[in-house]
Amino acid sequence: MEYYFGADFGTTNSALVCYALEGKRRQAIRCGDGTDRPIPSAVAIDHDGKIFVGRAAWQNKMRLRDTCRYFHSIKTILDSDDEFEVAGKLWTPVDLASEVFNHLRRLARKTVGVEMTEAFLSIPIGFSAQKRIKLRHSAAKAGIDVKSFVSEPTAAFAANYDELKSASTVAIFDWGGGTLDVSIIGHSGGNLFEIATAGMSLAGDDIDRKLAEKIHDKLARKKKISIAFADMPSGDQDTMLVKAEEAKREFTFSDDAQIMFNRYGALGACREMLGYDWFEEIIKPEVSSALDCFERTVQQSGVGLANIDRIVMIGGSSNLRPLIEQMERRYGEKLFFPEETMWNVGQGTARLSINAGDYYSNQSLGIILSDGSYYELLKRGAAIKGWSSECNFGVVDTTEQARLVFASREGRDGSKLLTEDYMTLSVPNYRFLQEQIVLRAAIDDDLIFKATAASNMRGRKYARTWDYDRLKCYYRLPR
Amino acid sequence: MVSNVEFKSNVYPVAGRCRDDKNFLRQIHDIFALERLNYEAPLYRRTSLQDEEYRAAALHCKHALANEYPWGTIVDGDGQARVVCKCEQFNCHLFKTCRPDYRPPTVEPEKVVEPEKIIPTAIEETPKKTPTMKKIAVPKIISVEQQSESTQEAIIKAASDEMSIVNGGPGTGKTFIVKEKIMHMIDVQGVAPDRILVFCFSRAAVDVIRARLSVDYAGVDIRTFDSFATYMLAAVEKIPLENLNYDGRIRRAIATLKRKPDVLGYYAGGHVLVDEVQDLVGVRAELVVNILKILPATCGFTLLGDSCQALYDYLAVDGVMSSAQFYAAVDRQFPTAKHYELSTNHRQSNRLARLTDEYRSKILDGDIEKCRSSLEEIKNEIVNADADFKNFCRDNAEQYDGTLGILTRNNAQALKISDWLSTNGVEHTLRRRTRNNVLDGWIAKIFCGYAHETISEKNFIERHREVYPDADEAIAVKRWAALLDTLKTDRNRYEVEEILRGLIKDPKADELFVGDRARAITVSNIHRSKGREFDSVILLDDLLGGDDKNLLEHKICYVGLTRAKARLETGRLDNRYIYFIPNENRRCYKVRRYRNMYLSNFEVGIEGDVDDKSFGLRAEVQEFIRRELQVGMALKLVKDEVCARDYVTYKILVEEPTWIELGSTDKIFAVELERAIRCIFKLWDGAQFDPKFFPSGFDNVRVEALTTCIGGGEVPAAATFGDLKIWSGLSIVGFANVLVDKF
Repeated sequence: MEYYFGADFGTTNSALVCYALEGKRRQAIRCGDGTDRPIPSAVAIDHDGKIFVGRAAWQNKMRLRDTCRYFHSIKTILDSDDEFEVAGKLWTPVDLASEVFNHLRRLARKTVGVEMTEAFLSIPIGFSAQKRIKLRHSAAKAGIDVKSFVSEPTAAFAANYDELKSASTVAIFDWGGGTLDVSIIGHSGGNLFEIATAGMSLAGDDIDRKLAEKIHDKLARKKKISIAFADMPSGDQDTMLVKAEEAKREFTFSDDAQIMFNRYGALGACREMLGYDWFEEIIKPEVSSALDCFERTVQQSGVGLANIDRIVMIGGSSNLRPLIEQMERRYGEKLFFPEETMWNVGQGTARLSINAGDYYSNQSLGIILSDGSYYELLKRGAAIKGWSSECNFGVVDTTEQARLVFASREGRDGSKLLTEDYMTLSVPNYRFLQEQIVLRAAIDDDLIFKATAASNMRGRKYARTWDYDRLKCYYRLPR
Repeated sequence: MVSNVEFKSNVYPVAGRCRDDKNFLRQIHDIFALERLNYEAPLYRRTSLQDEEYRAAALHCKHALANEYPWGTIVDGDGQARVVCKCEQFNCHLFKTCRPDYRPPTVEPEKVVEPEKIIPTAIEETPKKTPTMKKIAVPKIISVEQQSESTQEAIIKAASDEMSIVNGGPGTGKTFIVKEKIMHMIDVQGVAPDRILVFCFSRAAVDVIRARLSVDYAGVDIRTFDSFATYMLAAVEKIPLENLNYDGRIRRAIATLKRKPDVLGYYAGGHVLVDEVQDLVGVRAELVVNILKILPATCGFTLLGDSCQALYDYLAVDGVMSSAQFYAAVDRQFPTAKHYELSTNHRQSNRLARLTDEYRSKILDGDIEKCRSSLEEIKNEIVNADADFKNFCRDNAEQYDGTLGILTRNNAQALKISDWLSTNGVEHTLRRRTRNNVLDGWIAKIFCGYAHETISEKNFIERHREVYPDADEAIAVKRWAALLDTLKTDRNRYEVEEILRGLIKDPKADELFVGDRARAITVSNIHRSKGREFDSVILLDDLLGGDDKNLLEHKICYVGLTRAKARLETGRLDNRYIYFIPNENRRCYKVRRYRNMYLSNFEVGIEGDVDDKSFGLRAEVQEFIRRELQVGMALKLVKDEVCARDYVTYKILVEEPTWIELGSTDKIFAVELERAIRCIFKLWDGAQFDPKFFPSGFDNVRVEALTTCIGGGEVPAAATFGDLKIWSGLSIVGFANVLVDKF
């Protein structure tokens, strides 16, 4: 019996799925907590060092509010250098993330009965190199070796393959707690490739915050007390955020939501009924931004809306009723809401982990030479795993600096030259006609394209590296 | 000079040594580099372009500025690389000759952007929707005496050993008949007062009858069924009552009656009257049937009711005795009983009265088609006010003179309207229970913390002042009287224990109970509004002809229509997806369809939902309940993962401003919750039920009232007096929201 683990470490929830293989038989096991749901990506640490992770942290955040520090949306702060001191110990975002991984490991042990020592992880396209490294590090701290990263839209496609297999162009609209990620994915001949991606970092958490402020204004006006939301004690702000978020969810189904406070700071006991129309008005700008982002991505892809066969809606904020109403109006039957949005990406990741290493570059990367011609380094269609190349360059002028301009050729026939990805690497070079620049390029396990330019006459400290983390790949789907 | 920067590297691939790679060398175009090339790679032959560049480099325009090099290599229209002058010294007198190709770039005039004018938009006042009402004529009260006196007289004057079954609509004077008959039997027929037994449904009804009977008739025993059962058990069986709820007591009483049929022998030559028999269902129906069965032959009975208002027939589904079955059982047992029909008479306005009379006769006939057409006529007459409950505020309330009843189909709607009214600050009573057996919290507040074993009136008043410093002494006196009312003796000083025992056994006075303080506006569902009347009534329009193929629906409609004395309107409220559990409690729940069916709301606060003992486990909880807990406070129910019992329990929590766990839910809650979920997922009996189906929690639950719990057994934080313990509790209310996951 072989076990393959795939995890989706999300801003709001983390889903761990395991595929158990025995011969030809394949069974998906969802490692949820007792209630068969993914675990919230939340950590609470109390003043004597006790750690609560997942559902225990989320459910008790009200109770623990006064004694614990509550951390959520860890994914969005992964690359920051913040440190938090709790209970005499310094915590970094990597430490917090590794607690979540620890919890996932415990869940794996409990649900499947196996130690999870390696797994595939899904990441958004454009997840920075820094964040990838930190994420890998967090998993390593919990004893999990990340065998490979998988892009979230690819995982979503794989998870919903049955529904999508007849589609040739699919848009994935993933609006979660921290980000909106729109990806246009092409599907042909068993290959999945990313045509365009865009995103914005305006998502569920921001909407919660805005709602909290608006509700606060309503209550303050009703009580005729003038105080800004930011001036309320932080405990009350947190409580309001929790209630705002609950009301937001309630509006998915009903036309009103009740807010009840026993004591909301100086405002005392408060009670308010919020109507759906009011809610819809409030989040109109955010919904518009999301729709714009979607349209921009479609435009960028150049495929034309008519050619997009399905639009897959995943992520918590995709459940917002005003958004769905607008999407349905514009795109009608193209919309597809997968059954288990929260498990989708995790399941897809696990599925893909069974056959590893099937990534191919969907992009040509190269250098624009001094004569304006394009010198290709990475060929489109090259297998990503283990790819590397090395080349020598001479400098054609005496400016004492070698400047390498990287560019990307895209499009199905390689005719489009993207200007946004121009990147100049400068390396000191004094000896005209003698000194050469050795350019070594490779793609690492984090799917980052790294090019290092070093002088053949100098020490390594004069070398310069360029990281490209937006490498577009296509994925050959396993049978 | 502006350099023409293009995006490209300054490198070119090289094989081997730079000097030796001709391809590489050909790429050098920079003039300084070319110069260097001259020295460092003398063997290299330049290309013609490079030659040109080199030569151009040697030339230096003397008109150019120092250090400026006006020559550059471009690729012209034919794709050829050429060295050209790129000077941009417009002022030089030779400029035009050197640069004949120069075209000055067109500069677009800067667009002047006007700052957006901010026009303040006037805040539109949405006109409050005021329901339009048709003026209905001032009701003429048709006095009872104008009635067909013969029927009433016949009933009143019937002999005390006769069996009479009376059917009469609202306002036909049934209470009058009860009173007159009692007086007649005592004064004229010479029946001893204490051999007359009157059964009512509620203490309120008992009070009404007692109030009408002058003090000469005080010996008559007027009781509720619950009180009768208690009496049975205490006096006859001498069973300790602490741990039996009222339903349990009634069942035991029935068992007693069956075992000891002579226990009612005392009433030989007397009479038993039962009011509102149409509402007898379940154990109470069985109790009455059994009582009637064992009455001595010389003791007659009079049953008064209105089968047109029998709303509990649906309960037959459950194997529990329904109203129809009760009537049938009585008919079977007493085929010789006389049936009387009281003709119609309303305290309603003439027009409405006429219509509802029509409707009534159709219902009693059982002809559904005719019922439907009758109802249509009525609907045409009623104003559809389309009352907007969401924004129903004090201004709307003032439109209605006297009392207003807002009647709904189910509890869910009532709770929702109550929520809106509360949010808008409109005072109202939410009528929730038929029987009110919950002791008010002041009792616990007084006795928990009372340091002595005995108490006198003086002690009580002092203690009352300690606990309620702002209260008038008159209230304390009233409360003391209420406590003593349960005891038969009249002394100076009492043991606290005996007072508590009295409270368990036979509490009667209204003061002792969690009160539904009567207010101008009442919100209730139809079932809870029976027997009551209001000056104005707003009926939810789904009461008027939802499923009009069902006779029961028409009865419900009839009850609704007859609650109004003067003014009747309709309003609307969404009722979709609301179901109820078909038992006596009629607990509501709501289902949500979002890709699948889920339980979205569940009514809480039915008697038996909370585990009273759980409140008394910790002293800090008791302190909190007495000191901090307020009526209306928001609560949350969270599933207890560590399940100590064989049924699921939920912790009752206060989350803010402080977090505290108060207690937990009890068996009825678990049983009915499971039932609702089974219904939704279509898991009929026998199908496996996974505990995962129970929701993780609920919110939108409020504190309804502070209560007092008295009992025996293990209650660590309670105050103990003898064998009995007393502690504070609470009752909860709400159409609770099932907690859903964070997406």
